Amino acid sequence: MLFNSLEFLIFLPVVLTVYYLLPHKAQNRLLLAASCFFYGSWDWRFLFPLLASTSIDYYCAKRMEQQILAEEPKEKRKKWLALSVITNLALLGFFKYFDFFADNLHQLLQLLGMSVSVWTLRVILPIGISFYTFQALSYTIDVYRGEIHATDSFFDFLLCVLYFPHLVAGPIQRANSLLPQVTNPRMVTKEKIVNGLHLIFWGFFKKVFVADNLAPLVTQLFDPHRAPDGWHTLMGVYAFAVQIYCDFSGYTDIARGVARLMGFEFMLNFNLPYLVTNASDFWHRWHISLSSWLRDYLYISLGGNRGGEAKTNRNLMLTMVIGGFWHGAAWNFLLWGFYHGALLVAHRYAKPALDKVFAWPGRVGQALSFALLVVVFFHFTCYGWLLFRAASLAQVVAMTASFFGPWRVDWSIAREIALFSSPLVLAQLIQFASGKLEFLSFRWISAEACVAIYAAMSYFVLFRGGTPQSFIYFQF
Amino acid sequence: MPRVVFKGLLWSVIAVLTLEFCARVDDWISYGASPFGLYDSSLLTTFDKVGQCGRPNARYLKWKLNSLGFRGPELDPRALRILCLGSSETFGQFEAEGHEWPRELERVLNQSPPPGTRYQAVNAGFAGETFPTSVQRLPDRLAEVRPKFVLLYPSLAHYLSLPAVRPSGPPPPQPAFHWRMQERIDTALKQSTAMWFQTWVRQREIERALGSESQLDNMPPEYRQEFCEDLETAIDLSRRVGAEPALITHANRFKDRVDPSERFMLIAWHKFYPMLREEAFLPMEASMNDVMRQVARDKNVLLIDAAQAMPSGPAYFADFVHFTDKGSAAFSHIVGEKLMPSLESRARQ
Repeated sequence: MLFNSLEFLIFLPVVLTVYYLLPHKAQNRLLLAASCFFYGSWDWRFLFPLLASTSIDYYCAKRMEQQILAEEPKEKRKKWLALSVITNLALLGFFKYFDFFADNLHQLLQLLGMSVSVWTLRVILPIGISFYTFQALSYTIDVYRGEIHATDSFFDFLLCVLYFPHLVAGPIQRANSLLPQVTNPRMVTKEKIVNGLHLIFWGFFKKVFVADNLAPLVTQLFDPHRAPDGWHTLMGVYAFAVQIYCDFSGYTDIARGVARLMGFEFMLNFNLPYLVTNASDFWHRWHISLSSWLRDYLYISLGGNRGGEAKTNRNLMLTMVIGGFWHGAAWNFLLWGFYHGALLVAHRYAKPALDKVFAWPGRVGQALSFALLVVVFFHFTCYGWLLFRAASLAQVVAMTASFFGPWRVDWSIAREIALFSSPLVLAQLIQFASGKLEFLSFRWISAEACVAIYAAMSYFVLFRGGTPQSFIYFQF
Repeated sequence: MPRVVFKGLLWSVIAVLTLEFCARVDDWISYGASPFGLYDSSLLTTFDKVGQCGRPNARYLKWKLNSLGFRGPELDPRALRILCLGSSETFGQFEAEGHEWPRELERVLNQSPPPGTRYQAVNAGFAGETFPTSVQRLPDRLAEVRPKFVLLYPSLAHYLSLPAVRPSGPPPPQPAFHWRMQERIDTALKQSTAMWFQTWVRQREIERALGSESQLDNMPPEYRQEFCEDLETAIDLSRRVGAEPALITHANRFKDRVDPSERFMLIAWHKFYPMLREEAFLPMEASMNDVMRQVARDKNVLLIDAAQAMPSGPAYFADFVHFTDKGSAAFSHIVGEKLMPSLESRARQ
């Protein structure tokens, strides 16, 4: 059941109506049932690995909690943490990476002249497995570290993992933020409903009008069967940069909006990620729930920046490569992670020089140097999207080489991208200039103007939306 | 309380006006339509002595008519022209712009034409045009287009409502104001309504339209005879000006049998012709196509049996008889293949 489907537009009001009529405990049971229905609507078999891993995580966390209360040494908890981590990673590895490794082993053996048949499973990837695995892991790691208490209620924990707005594509919620919201009664205020509806509207607009309309163009420009030229490659990465941002941040906005309608508060996942001047800033603003997860549970666990220059760089590279691989079992995701790791490392060294060179005097000078850096770094980000979107490494090479060949300029493609991107650019500039992400919450915008803006957005969603596409991040 | 009601009303008015404003700006940006005045399918039509036909140089959404009121580009004076006559199946309903079958046929024929030859398929079909009116207009069409070939692809079911489809009177008066949002909302509602419910509504409409009248078991013989005469007249008129006619049998989504899962589409078709029993639609098509085969034999005319050759199913037909892009391409290949030898010999002359 996609957010942008008729089924969800029926499902949500029904759930909300019943939800508002129930007391807190019953609300949680309703949400659990609704979440099972929501997730099971893809394939009811997907529920089994989820329930298995959640049960093991719950049990491990309980045992660690008992050991903490008994003031046993931290070492003793390790086996329970290891069990939880191994279970989750084994599930992820089995469903997501088994065939990738098997295929690559097969190719390697063939390269070495050995003809061995390698067993592949061709299993269906349970939707959202990367998201709920990371979420469950954060719970057991936090309990292990003594940062949160394990919950007594299995159903509360299950709801934390399974809660339908964030289940399939995040934001990856930490237990220390979500669990208290599950266990304590939630307040649904008028303000929350208004904000929630705003987020839902804006999310749908980004997804249906911007991302879905750009999707066919992106598919055409990234067609592996066509000979690329520089212009079409450039337009392809521009279009994909807008598409993936609107697709994923649109999903997140809808998820956050739906959660708010029920009194929940999800973390911010995107904060104007293209208006940044370097890779470090980018990862503070793009898929924040994943990047902060990787920072807190991987980068810091690897030693962070505590072991000197070389180790810091190694940890950065490792974190980003694993982050890239988290997205999918393919070489181009590994390459994408490596590329962003390299950008982060390069930025560490280039920062003093860049600060010096771009320290232009005056407010105008500062604004111009900032704008220039934003444009330059946007192109670095875009090249990363080429690595991410390409169907194969061969296509990466061909599209990269196309920048140095002849360019067949076709302004109609640029016009199409500009047409669908312009509302987003306008909104982002207003958000950036005002420092407010919810750009319709200004006092100077009257309620009547808001109604007109929402009506206009509704028009473009309902009547000018592209062919409905699944959310890109569902595949991860 | 009155304040809340007033606010609600005001907001509703603002929302409705904004939606209408967006629809008009959208039409303007997407199709170059004036934001003011009327913008609907009636822009495509005008009325001549026979009745409703294409308005010269009209444009509406994806449909663009030339100076003769035909869909497609202007006549190419150097091309060998093929006149395509028919109804909405020929005019093009669901295909993307430029994918209606005459345009597809033109592409097929021009893939490997004899040296120095270029073919142009002139789409003189029009939505709602019946074969009797096509025949009435044929002398004018032949004089305007001066084709070497005339392809006749009549919509057969029109003969069921023959008395009603005879030349109509003056055009109906246009409304002073037309909500452009209305059509969009209607379409959106239709698209989001469950098929079983749409079918149920259609069945009620059929019952209501039929009233106490009994249904036909097949096309009445006198209408079959009339069809036969219309075909013969069209053939004679074409030949008189040196154009070679060809008959194309009528293809539909179901071919020989209606799959139970496809019955909803048969009911959708039935709604337009409630006077015929639902089970009689395919026999009616078959009997009318037999008339075409017989006339082709009697008059020694090229017959393209698309009814037999066309694949069936939703991939090829967007509804009961109108093509999808894929269907239009398949149909054009069938027609092109059969037509090519005759065309080549014509081009050599």
